[in-house]
Amino acid sequence: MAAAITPARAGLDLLHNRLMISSKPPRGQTAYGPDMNRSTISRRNLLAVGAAGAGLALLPLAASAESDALVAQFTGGAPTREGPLRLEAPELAENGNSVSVTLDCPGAEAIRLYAPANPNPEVCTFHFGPLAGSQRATTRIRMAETMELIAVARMPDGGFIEARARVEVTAGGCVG
Amino acid sequence: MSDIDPRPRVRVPATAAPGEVVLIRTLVNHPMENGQRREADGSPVPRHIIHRFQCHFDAELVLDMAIEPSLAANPFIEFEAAVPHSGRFRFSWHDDNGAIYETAAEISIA
Repeated sequence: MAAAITPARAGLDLLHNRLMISSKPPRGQTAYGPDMNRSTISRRNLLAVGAAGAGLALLPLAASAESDALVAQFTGGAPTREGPLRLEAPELAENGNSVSVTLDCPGAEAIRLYAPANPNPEVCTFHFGPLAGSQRATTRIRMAETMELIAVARMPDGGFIEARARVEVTAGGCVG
Repeated sequence: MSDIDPRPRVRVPATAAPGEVVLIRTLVNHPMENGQRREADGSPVPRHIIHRFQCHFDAELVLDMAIEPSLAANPFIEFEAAVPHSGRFRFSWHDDNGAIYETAAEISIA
């Protein structure tokens, strides 16, 4: 995701810098005189904006490729299917240091949780034993920023179920 | 490392009907130092977390949880267990420093 953001941010910074510079007349010129730089700058600005746009357009694609790679760590690349996995998390979390998350998937052998935008995206994996009363567990996690959490459950038939939930984080956790 | 006072706490009902599913809540004190932070002088604070939690009923497994640094400090874990007969729940938290914090709770069939 960082790779996709970089051109966008760089483009916007460049645009910002250019505008700051162009508002100050170069030495030896008045603000009203002919400014040959201006047209050059605006063309560069255009390029910068274009790069930023391209970066933003790539963002969802890059993010989904990264989260797919995370999921593959658990599934070994096997496809995931729809199923009874529930990932319960607040829509809005004021404190990213502690966000309550519940995972529930009747019949699952194991459920893993990812917080993809954290420095350590893997959060935890629950393995349910023979005396588990349900395949449901709640814990509290750290979240660096607003993101979509991902849960993946491994079923006894070897299949995998995936669920996602977006959590808006007001103040990011000092984070895992 | 030795300054950790984990004080593991669990909430388990004292009694259950045979085969009943009971709710268990656990809490342990731990900073869950994730290895990302820095001291005031810029030196990194090394990772130091609880990386595994287990709950058994007598010899049988209820829950085995692998934990990474993204879990919040003072890990809270809530889950359910089936109680086939009177027995003893055993809980263990495994610290990066090799320590294992343990506690247990008896439950009897009413």
